[in-house]
Amino acid sequence: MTDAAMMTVVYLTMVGFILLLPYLSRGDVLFGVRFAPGVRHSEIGLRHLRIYRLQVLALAALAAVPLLAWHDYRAVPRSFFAVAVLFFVVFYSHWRSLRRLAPDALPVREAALSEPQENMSPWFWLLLPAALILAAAAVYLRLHWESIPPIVPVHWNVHNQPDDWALKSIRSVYGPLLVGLVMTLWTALMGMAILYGSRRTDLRPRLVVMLLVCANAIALLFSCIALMPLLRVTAWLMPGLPLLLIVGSLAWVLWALRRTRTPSEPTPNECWYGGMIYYNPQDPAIFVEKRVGIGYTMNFANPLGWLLVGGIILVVVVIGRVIGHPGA
Amino acid sequence: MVYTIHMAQPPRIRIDLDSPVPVYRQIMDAMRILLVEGALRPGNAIPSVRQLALALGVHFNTVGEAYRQLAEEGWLDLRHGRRAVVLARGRPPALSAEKTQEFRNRLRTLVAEAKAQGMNPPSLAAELRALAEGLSR
Repeated sequence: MTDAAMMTVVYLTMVGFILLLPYLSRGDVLFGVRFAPGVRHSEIGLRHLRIYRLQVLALAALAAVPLLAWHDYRAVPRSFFAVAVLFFVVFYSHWRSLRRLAPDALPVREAALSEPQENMSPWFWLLLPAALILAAAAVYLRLHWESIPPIVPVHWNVHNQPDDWALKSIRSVYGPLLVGLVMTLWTALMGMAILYGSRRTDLRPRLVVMLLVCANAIALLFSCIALMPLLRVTAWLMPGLPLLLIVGSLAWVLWALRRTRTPSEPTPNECWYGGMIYYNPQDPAIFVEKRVGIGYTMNFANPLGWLLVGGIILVVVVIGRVIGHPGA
Repeated sequence: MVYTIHMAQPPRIRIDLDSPVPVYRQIMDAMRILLVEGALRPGNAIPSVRQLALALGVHFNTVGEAYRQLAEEGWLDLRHGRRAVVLARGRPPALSAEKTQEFRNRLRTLVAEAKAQGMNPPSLAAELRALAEGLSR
């Protein structure tokens, strides 16, 4: 695939995702604002969605001018950035205009008093494949240590060709596995934190399972990278297989999201900023379901959330510094 | 204002953040109604303090206080490291004459308030009868 074709595919995927974003939420949410169920099919919902589609398509066409007119593919990152920024401006304007129309949060809250059952007991077994994949890669590297060339690739371009190398060492050979392990543990930890610090919803088990599938995809990706000096993993297999896992689990969650009739979490509209940032000091939840997109977001008013996410980022940074760049 | 919702399953409670009654008190009163009426039975597991606080969107201490007071009344088993469970509560000791008079006064106040706010006497009588029948079952 040529650079041009690849960039076009990525660009169109990004635009498609932005177009779909207002639909990636429960049926009572429109541009991050909670209304009554079915709001997207109401007159106001249809009008906002129609205007949003036109705005995004116009912006995407404008940002694509350098690509189409001058075939300047170096401008692609700038186009991506421009589309992303303009998208936020457009989305924010819709959120702001709808926020004024949204009903105030009701002071009445309700909860079930039976011990709700969540079919999540064997969730940690989903991490077993990731552990096995990483361990198998580590053992394979150890057994074939002599066959590893004295200079190993540590970076690849989009065509799966190495473009940076390092001297063979424990750090350069096992580094990708360590990064994979940390990222897998990080993803798993996020799953556990969500189970601990979020409200039970009908979609929560699926979202946590999706996160654990992503942990497996990460383990697979970094194991492939670690094995590159020994095995020539085909270009499509390395990113393709993990991507397939992620897209598959995402589709599984999307399917449930489309079918569910359960309203969104009753988080007050006035605690959402831009429909994406949640800040509510009165809410003990560390994580809440996103109003836009799939998954969870942090309650920025909860110090535990900062501690958790900050601590995890710190660990990742420290590991990154320890591994460093093993360049030759 | 305290509400309990009588649905087939599961029993639910409702709180009103605008009510002058403290939230922990609302939780406690709503749960006590469910316990007295048998909607929550001995051996039933109830949500942990954390789960209920998350579900209601109130502080953990608020739910913790309600659970503690219900445990002191003998309704709940809150042993550390175990799920909160409804206890088979023994018959409480007979009320003293003063306490009985206090409850009588509270009931009369409540009935007077309901009448003053427009509830007609036959409806009020029917409500009280239904409550009494529920208690004697």
